[in-house]
Amino acid sequence: MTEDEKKIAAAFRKCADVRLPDDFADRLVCRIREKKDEKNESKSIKTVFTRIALIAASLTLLLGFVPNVLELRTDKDAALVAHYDEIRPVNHTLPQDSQLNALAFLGFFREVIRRRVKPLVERFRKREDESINSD
Amino acid sequence: MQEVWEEIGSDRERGARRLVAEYGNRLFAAALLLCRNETDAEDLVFRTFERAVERIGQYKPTGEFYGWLYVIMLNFWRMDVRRMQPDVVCAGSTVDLPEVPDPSLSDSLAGVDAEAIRAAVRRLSPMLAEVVVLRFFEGRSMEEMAEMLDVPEGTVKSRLYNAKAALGKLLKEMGL
Repeated sequence: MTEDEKKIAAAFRKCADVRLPDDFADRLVCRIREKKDEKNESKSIKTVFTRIALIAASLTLLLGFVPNVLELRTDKDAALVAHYDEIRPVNHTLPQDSQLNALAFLGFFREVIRRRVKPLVERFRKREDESINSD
Repeated sequence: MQEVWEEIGSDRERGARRLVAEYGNRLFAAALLLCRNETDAEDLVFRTFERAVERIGQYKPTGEFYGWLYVIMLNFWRMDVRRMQPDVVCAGSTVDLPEVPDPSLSDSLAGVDAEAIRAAVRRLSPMLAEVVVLRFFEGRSMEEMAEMLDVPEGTVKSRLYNAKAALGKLLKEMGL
């Protein structure tokens, strides 16, 4: 700082003689507390919503996808699925993209369930046929 | 004894009280030079402390703590100015600058009271007001100012030159 600037700075020091209101710290602490409560509240809302979403997703899987898969027990559906698998190979790996959307995710589960359940269904049908033949 | 930022990290409320006790008045004085009135200045300091407590994890202990607080305040103030006077922020000055700064600025300022100095600084453009406060009230070096304002040192020097010129002219206009 030059001498002139030092003089200017000395004049500006006159502006330093101020005080915040006495209740300033109390108000700040109150606000911090309020914010903490708001955060906790939104967290609990988020938890509730997450649970609802999880239950809804589970119900969708159970009531929607699983019965669809089990219907493959008929010859017609099994043939359709076989055809479908032939023309469009199923990719069982989850997409790496972080912007994975919910539909893709559900679609993935649908394929997994079908793949897993399909052999079971076929085995079950085979056993059923065998028991009919032996009768 | 714990540093203020450490205390905020371990106990927010106690840390906030210490923050006000240690830096409140100093920051309030700077805010009063920048803001239009006491209410705005108090609100600015309040938001600054609130944000500082909230984002204490972002503070790097290698830097100066008051400088960190000051930059938070400056950012809030700039946002306020932008909201209130969108055209003024980028302008160099709200007054026509004389070609050469008044050499008697320091003498003129010596004879005026704090309220008159604040009134003159508030009439400067935001860009010039922030360098004036940093240089003459906070006593910052050119290097520190450049870092805090995130502009090259040359820009700070040129703004400061203009600010001094504008301040001298304003004081004359105010009859001081």
